[in-house]
Amino acid sequence: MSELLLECKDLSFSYHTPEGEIPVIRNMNFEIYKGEFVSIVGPSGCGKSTLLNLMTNMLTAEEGSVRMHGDSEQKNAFGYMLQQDHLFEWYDIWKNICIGPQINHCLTDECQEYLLDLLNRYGLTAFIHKKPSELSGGMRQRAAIIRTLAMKPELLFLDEPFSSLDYQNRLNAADDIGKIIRNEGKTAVLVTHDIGEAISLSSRILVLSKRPTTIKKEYNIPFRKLGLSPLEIRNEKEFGTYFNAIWKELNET
Amino acid sequence: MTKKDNNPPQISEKQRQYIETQTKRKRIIQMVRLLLLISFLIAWEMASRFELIDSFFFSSPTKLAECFSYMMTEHALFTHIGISLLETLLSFLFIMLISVVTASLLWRYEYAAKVLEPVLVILNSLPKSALAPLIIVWLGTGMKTIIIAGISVALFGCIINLYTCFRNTDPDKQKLIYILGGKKHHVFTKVILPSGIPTIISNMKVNIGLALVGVMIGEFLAAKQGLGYLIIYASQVFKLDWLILCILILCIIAIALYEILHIIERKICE
Repeated sequence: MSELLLECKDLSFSYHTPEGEIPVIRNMNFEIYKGEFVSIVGPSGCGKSTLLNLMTNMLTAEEGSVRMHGDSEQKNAFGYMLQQDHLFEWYDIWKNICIGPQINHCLTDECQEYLLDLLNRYGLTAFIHKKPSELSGGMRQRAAIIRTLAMKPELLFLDEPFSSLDYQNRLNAADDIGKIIRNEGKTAVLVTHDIGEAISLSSRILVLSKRPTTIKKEYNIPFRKLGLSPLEIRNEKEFGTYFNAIWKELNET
Repeated sequence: MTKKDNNPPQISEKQRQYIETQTKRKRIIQMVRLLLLISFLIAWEMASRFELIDSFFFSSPTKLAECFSYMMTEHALFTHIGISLLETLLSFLFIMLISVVTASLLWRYEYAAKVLEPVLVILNSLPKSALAPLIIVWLGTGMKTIIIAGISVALFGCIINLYTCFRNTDPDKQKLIYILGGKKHHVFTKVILPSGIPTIISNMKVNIGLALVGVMIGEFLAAKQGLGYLIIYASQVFKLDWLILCILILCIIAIALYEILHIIERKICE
């Protein structure tokens, strides 16, 4: 068994509004192990993003706990990609990817070399002094993940990071990001409503129920272990089988 | 640099035609504007000379030119213009400085913002000309009072606008800074302030005009120099040439100040 990185135990959470209490997550239990790519899929509004916010301590659980283990207990142990790339238009690409180290006062020569190497490996060196608006959707996503990787996080949380892209760019960006995460040897948790994206990227998929949400079913996906790229996985024969099974599960929720 | 870099970029015939049409269109618009101005001045002069209008009340371009020359030599017109400009610029700088600082503090201290919101709304909706006499009683006459009158006209609206802009900044962009390990001051310097720059500039463009209005109100009531003082003096002694000339100078000042800000905006956007 791989090293345990994150553990959610008996997790429950409700939103409180003047109109009343909205229970979102009820009694959820799961673990994330080192090297995994776990996708969380569920119906719209079931609380997927809330779950990510709880895992990243942006929200505090009302009941139960979220525990980081091992190296992931350290500061900046996780990175977070939001639904849009949120590159700052007032900075060029270099300044955008340096924000994390700059804030944490660790923009050393070594860190800069690491970032330049990432930019080089993922084809953005020529765009280093360009403004984000001068980059394509896919390039922006690559820049956003390099910004996330700048702090060398152990665990990456991806909150529907491709949802703002059109279909073609979405497939390419997912392929790029999947490869980058694998190359860098990172563990990732992806929240998505796109079943195909989840199957092509993940080693494990958690299917959530309607609100108040809990884990309804768990799928172990074998393709990632075969070393196939996300785009290649989409051509696999069993891809459709998994797709239909998860689709059915979601429609039954 | 290679030889190729020195060559001008190649453009197609259709692109060249398009650029020419656009340039021509701009030139025509400028010519028509100039023509309209010249026609207006000629019509005004003719109407005055042929007594279609009373030149005592409506003056004429030549009378205004004579008046300008006379006032420059005999009444230190440029000193009056300079004083009004100085007061306007100082009011404007104070408006922007106080507004940015206050809006930033309100963004930082959300509870204070909630408490002070009705006060700001009341102060903003108050007719500022009604405040001017009170300011004179409190502070006496002079430049200080005029600058405060200038500030009072635009300050509260600007604070409300900037605070609203800061508060409505994309929450995900702010969240990103927290995720990267940043604190509230990082959110302010890296997200709130840079994303608020277009709003700050558009407020500057509005406030430069409002500062001029405020300074005029102040000078009407509490000045011994300045264009506002000249306007009031001219109206009291029925020197309507003076009055119209001062209004024209105010128009030119307003356009010039707006254009300067427009240039600054373009530079920042580049």
